Amino acid sequence: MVQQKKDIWSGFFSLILGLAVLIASFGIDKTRLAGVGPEYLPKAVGIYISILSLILISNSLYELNIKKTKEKKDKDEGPLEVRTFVASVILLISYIFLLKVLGFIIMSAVFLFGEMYILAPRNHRNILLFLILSTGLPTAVYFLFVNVFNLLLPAGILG
Amino acid sequence: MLLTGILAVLNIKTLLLIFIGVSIGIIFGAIPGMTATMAVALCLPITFGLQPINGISLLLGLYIGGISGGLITAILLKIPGTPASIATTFDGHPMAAKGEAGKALGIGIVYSFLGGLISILILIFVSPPLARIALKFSSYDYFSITVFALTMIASLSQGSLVKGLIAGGIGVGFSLVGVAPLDGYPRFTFGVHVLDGGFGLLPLLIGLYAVGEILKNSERKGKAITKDEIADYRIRGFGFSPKEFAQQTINWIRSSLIGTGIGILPGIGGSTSNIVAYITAKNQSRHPEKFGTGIMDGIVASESANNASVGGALVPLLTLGIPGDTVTAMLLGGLMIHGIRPGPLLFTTNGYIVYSIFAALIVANVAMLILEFFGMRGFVRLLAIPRHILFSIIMMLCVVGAYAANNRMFDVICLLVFGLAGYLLMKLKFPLPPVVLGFILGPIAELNLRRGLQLSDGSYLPFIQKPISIIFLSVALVSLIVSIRNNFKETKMLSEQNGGEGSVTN
Repeated sequence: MVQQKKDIWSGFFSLILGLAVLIASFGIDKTRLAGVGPEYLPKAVGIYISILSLILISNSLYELNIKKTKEKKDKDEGPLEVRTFVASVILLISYIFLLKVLGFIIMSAVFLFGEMYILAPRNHRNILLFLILSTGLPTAVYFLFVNVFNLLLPAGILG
Repeated sequence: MLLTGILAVLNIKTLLLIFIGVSIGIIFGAIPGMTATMAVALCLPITFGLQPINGISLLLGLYIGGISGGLITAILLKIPGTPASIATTFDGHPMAAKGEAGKALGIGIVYSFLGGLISILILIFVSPPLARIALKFSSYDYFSITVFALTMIASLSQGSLVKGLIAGGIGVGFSLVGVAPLDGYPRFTFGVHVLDGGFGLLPLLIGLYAVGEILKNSERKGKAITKDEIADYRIRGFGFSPKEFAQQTINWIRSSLIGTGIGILPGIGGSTSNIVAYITAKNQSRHPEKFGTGIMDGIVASESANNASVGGALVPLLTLGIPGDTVTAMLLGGLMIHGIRPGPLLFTTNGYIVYSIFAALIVANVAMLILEFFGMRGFVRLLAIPRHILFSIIMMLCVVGAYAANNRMFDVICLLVFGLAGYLLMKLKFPLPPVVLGFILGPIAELNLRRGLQLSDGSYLPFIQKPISIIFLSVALVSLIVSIRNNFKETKMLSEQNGGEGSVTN
C-alpha cells in the first residue's frame, strides 16, 4: 500500500480517538478554582487531535490525487506471517490472565515454550533446548527476584 | 558534597552494578531490534530494591552501554544495532570489508569513550549554574518550557510532522486518565477505581517499546545471524597510530559538541546526532570523496556524537526535571521511585546525588571502554542467539517488570494494552517517542498552566509578560513554523520530482 493510503487510515484512526476524547470530556464537571478546570486539557487534546487528523487525511488525499501514485509494495523483509502474530498475541493474553491463578513459574514455562515454538522457523525447532530453557529460566528469575531483589511475583498454586 | 557524592559510587557493589549495567546495555545495543530504552525499562524494577545511588548507577551504565553497543553490529554486520549508530555503518563496514574490522572497532570504542567524556564534562560544568538560574523559574516559565519541549519532540521526530504532532497529543491523552492535578477530579476513570492513579510510566514504556516491538517482530520469521555473516576481526592495540589520533582532534571535538548540543534539545538524541555529525565532518573535510569508502573520519564523527548525546540529554533532566528522550524519561521514573525529584532543587537539597550521578557516568564510560575492548568476542558470540529465544525471554521479563513495580495485575494488563497500542501505532507509522514524552510532559504542562492561572486569577497575560516564558513560547512557535515550511517544501519538491509517474513511499 502506498504511504498516502496508509496515512488516510492513520488519520481516521486518530480522528476517532480525538473525537472520543472530546466527547468523553464533556462529562467532566466544570467545578473550578481560579483559571481553568479539569475539563480544559481533555477538551483541548480532543480538539487538537481531531483537527490534526483532518489535516492528515486531507493532505494524504491531496497528495494521492496529484501524484496518481501507482501501487507499490512495502520493501519489508520476508512475507507477513499472520498466523504467527495472532498465535503469539493469544498466547500473551492467556499468559497474563492466567498468571495470578497458576503462578509465575508455571505460566512462564508454558509461555516461553509456546512462544519459542511459534516464533522459531520450522527447521530451528529444537524441542529439547526449548524445554530446558522454558523450565530453567522462569525458576531462576523467580528465585532471583524474590530472594535477591526482594520483589514479589505471583506464586499461584505452587505458593 | 562533591566528595560524598563521588565516594558513594566508589565501592565494590556500586562499581560492580555499573559494570553489569554497561555489559547488559552493550548487549541490548548490539542486537538489532533491542535498544537502550528497552534495556533501561526492563532493568528499572530491579533498581527498586537497591539503594538510590546503586539503582541510578545501574541505569546510567545501561544507558551508556546501550548507546555504544550499536557500533559492534554496525561495523561487523552493516546493521546498526541501534539508530544511534546508523552513520557508523557508512565507513565502519567498508573498513571491515577491507580486512580492517579490528581497527574500525578500536576507533569506534575509543571515540565513543572520548565523545562521552567531553559531554560528561560539559554536563558537570553547565548544569550547576543552569540549575541556579532555573531555581528562579515560575509556573509560567515551566509551562512555556514544557510546551517548547513538546513541540520540539513532535516536530523533530522521524516521519511526517502532522503524525508526530498527533502522536504527542495521543501521549497527552494517555496521561489524562486518573485524577486531575490541583483539584483531584477523576477523569476518564469511568468509575473504575484502579484507574484513579492513572497509568504507570513503566507499563506504558515497556508496553509501547518492548512488547510492541516484539509483536511487530513476530509478524515475520526472523532468521538468526550466522557466524559467516560476521566479519572477521583482530584487535591489536587500538588499531590506529598517535599521528592518526592527532589528525582527528578537530573532528572529535566538533562531533562531540554537535552530539552534546543535539542531546540537550528535547526530542532528538543519539539517533539524529550521529548522522548530523557525519554529514558535518564530510562537508568540512578536505577529502569528502573518501567518505563512505572506509575512512577513520566517518567512524570518529558518528561514534563521538552519539555517545556525546548522553551527557547532553541529562542536562535538561537534572536541571529542569524535563526529560528530552525516552531513556531519560525512564531515568526520571527511576529517580522518582527513590523519592528523588530531578530539577533545580535537587542541586541544593540532594547535591551529593548529583555528584554521584556525575561520578557514575564517568565510571560507566570507562567501564564501556574496558568491556568493549576486552569483551568484544563475548558480545559478538551473543549475536548468534536466535531471535525466537531472545524475544520470548524478553517478553517474559516485560511481564516480570510490569508486575514487580507495584505487585498488581492491573499494571500487567496495562502492559498488554499498551503493547497492542504500540503495535497499532507502529503499523500506522506514528512515531513512538512523542507518545512517551507527551505522556510525561502533558501533566507537567497542565499543572503549571493551572497553577499559573490560579496565581494570576485566570489571566493569561503573565505567560507572555515573563521574559523566559515568552522566549520559550516564541522559539516553540518559530520552530513549529519552520518545520511546517520545510515539510511543505519537501512535499512540493517530491511531487515535482515524481511528476505523474513515480510514487513516494515512506
